[in-house]
Amino acid sequence: MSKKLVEAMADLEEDAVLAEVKALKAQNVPALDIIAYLQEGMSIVGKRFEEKEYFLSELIMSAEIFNEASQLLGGGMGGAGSSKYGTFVMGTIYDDIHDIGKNIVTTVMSSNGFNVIDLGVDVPTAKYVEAIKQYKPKVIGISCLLTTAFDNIKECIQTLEKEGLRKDIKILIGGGPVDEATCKYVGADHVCKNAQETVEYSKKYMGV
Amino acid sequence: MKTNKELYNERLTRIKKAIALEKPDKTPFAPMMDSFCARHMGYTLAQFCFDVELSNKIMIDSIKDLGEVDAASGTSSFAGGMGLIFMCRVKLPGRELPENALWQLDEQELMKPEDYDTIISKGWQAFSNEYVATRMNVDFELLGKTGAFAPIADQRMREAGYPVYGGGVVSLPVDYLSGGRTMAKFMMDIKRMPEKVTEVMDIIMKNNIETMKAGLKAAVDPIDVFIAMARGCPDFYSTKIWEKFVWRYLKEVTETCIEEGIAADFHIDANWERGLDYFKDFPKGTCVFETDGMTDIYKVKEKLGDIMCIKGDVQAGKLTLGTPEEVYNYSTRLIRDMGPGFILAGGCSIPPNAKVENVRAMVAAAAGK
Repeated sequence: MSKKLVEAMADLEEDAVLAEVKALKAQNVPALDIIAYLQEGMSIVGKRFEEKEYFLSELIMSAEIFNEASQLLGGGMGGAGSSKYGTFVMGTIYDDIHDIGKNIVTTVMSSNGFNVIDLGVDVPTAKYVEAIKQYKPKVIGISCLLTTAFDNIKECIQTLEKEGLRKDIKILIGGGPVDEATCKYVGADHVCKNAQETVEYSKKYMGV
Repeated sequence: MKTNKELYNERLTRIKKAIALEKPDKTPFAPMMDSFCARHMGYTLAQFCFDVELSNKIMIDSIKDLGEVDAASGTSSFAGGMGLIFMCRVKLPGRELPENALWQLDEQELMKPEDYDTIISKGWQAFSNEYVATRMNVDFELLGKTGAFAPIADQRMREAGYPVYGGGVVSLPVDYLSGGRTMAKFMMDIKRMPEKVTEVMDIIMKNNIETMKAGLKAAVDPIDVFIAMARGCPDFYSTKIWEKFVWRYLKEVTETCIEEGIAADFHIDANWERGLDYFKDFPKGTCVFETDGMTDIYKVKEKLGDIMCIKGDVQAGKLTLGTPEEVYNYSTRLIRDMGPGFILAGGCSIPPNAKVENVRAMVAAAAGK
């Protein structure tokens, strides 16, 4: 256990994190162990966020530092692998290229131990279908910042139903104009007003 | 039958009274709307974006059709120039997007860390001229036409009897830098080199305030300065960061507006509840808190209702999926609970696919019908 790395990650000390990752690598510590230390630091970041010691600025910084450190080990956030909980697939629905909200949610979910598959922005239905078949998530998130894309979420969810992929997953939606009425209209399961709500809902559903 | 001139003066007085927290004869209705006007009048968003003169006609016709609108939020399409508020590229309908898709910011890392040094050594204007010309995807022909037609567009709107809610516009440095660098890279910049970022922000702020003042001198019947503050939401930052990189500049711009005798219109995107107390020190009746439905408007009323006018906040979702009855009831409740310093509007811009009957329900609520 590298207490130094865990603490540097939790305190967002970028230089110290990178130096320690390099040092551990030079000592032939397995990459997966180093990732685990980083993830432990990220869990502390998540806890501090919950306790309102940290805010989104710190979450985004933590994700950047984590990614940078992962690059030294030959992988990005998605390569973190050993998540404690299940897989969460997320993207911004097609015709919408807003990415900040989606990035916040994927960062918070990752730091809370979920294996996150980020599909990006302007995501077509086929890509959700493919990701669900491949990664078998229990929860998926659809971000939407445009009222003109409500019908696209609806179409996407209807397609998942037709493909027989809907019944075992929960579909969460979020974004500025999205509310309970939108949730009902598009046939999603729940509206998340913020990233923390996504974590809480997913943990509860996955029985964590 | 009142003339357009009489109606214009009546509407202008109504808006100004609401801003000054005096009691107007009725609650003013001054929605932000552009893309909605296009769909309302049967045009595509591409037509609206690329034909400046047509977009002016569309906006006037749409407002006339709705009836009692107390101020227009603009006079022609400005989608082509939207990226300039954020120093990033835009995708436009009929260019990168389908004919009827809404224009959107296309955020990429166009600005590099070394650009901070260039801005410090060359100044903002020299840097931004090169940046806008070579890195962004601005349609200069369209922008030129928009600028050249602006005085005519403005005059036609006013002659139709509608004041223009505006007069000046200003961006905060946080929007330029987070748009140009991307939000994530900008967050790292303020961690890695806070003093350099501050130095650059000071340069940008000085430039933007000068530009704003020059704009005000040329404006006809200016009502307010539109302060774009999308990336400044206090929910995005720890308090210390927010105070240093957002609030400091927002306060400076607001104080300048007050000195210039023009209302500061805070165009609030996202949830600003954590920051409401900071606004309490501005003089009474000098600012407008224009909110989009993400900040609880009742909390805004509780904290700031005695200090500044509130504008908003019928949500885009409600205007799209709700019924006229829901919109009418919500608008009426706001009029009852937020006034007298209240201007009814949509939460941010009225979306293109808002139901026309829902927008009419807002008009009816404001008219007390």
